[in-house]
Amino acid sequence: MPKKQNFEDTLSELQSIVQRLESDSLSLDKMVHCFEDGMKLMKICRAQLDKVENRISTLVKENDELSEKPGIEQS
Amino acid sequence: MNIAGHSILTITQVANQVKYTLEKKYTNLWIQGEIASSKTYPSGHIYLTLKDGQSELSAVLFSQYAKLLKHKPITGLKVTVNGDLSLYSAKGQFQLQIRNLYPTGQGDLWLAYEALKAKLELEGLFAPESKRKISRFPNRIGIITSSEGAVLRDIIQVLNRRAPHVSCLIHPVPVQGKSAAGKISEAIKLMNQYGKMDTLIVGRGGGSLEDLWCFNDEQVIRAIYNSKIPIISAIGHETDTTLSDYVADYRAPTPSVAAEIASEDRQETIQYLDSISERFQIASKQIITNYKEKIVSLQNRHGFFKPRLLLEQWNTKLNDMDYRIKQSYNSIINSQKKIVDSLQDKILLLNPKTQLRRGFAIAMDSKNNIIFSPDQVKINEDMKIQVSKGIIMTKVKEGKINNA
Repeated sequence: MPKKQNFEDTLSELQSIVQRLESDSLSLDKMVHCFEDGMKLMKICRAQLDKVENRISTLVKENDELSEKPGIEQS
Repeated sequence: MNIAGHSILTITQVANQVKYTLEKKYTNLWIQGEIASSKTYPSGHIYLTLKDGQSELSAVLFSQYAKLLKHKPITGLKVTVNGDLSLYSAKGQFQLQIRNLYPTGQGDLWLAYEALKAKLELEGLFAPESKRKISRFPNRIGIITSSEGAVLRDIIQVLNRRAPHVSCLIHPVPVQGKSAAGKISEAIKLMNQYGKMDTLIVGRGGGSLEDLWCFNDEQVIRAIYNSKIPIISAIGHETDTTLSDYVADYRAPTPSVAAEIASEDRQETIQYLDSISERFQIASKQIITNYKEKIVSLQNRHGFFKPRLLLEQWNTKLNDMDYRIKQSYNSIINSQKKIVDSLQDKILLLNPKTQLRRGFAIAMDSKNNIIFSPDQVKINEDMKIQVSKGIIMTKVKEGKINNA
């Protein structure tokens, strides 16, 4: 699994794993693997949703350098 | 019908032919004039008469176009209209079917708009296949709009409610005035250069045609087209469509809708994850149950019983043999015992003492030899007679041998 995956990719991987699991022809080993992978991805998804800070910052350009400043800066 | 070489037409046939010619030749016209009269019908259609110094032209605005008008077509207004000629067969009158109507002056603006639109369309800037997909689960959303005003507030409010886990990066820009177009396109480029966001919302509140005009600027349109980050446009009200809306990957009618499109509702997502979690449990349990059933059915297979059956059979045989061995052993012992018993009886019978007790006696000479025949002894020789309770000493008087 790549280190930094976006939520959408993680979710679609989760979906394909659950579909595999539901396809009913898995060996017991594979099932256990699927289950473990699924639970890992589930944890990642939930962790992303649990970040409860709606961080707002403003993109500013100073001396040709782009950076962020917290909050809303006036234009 | 044909009379004397002339083909005779019905009125409808003439009307249809004229209508066909008009519609083929007089399409997408831009006409300037003054509204001489205007009447709105309950159906929502507006019937107009347009005129200039010499001529008049009947025109109709069908309700689907009439309701999109920003300017009421009042009598006396000088207008530029865009539409097609057609024939109203019932009256035999040709009329202009208007799609757009602008007060004169703005008409020039719209001519430029239509020209730019046609050019960019030809270049493929509005093609559906060049639209990028808007992520439903962004980490961060970029917002390009005025730092004041309702747009930013609305977007942030909706995001706070639906997706508090999503953060925002704002690039404030002026959204009207001469510098707006340049600043907006620059902002789009800078946001792309900076990256680190999944979706961009370019927005502006409602305003007059001129206010929104910067979003019809070619620089802005091209900046949106060239953006690597998918862009949602939320410009003006639902009835205002700028070229930025055409080129954007998604056109939201309002800033709130833009925020909704840009983020899946957190609670719904959690519910969805819960449902997947449940599917995991059910599917895994099902697989385990299936395997268990397989094991049970294997256990019940004949093959597994065979060894046990054989074992049982062997066991029975062994028990049987054991029994039989014991049986024959006993019977042998018994028969031997009987033989011994009868021998014992015989022996007992043969015991001389037994004979003596029954009254028999044993004759012996002085040397204790048993006398079987009289010729073993002589007359007057000493002799012993053994009886049951003792010995009698005697002498031989006479001997007589039995006749054979």
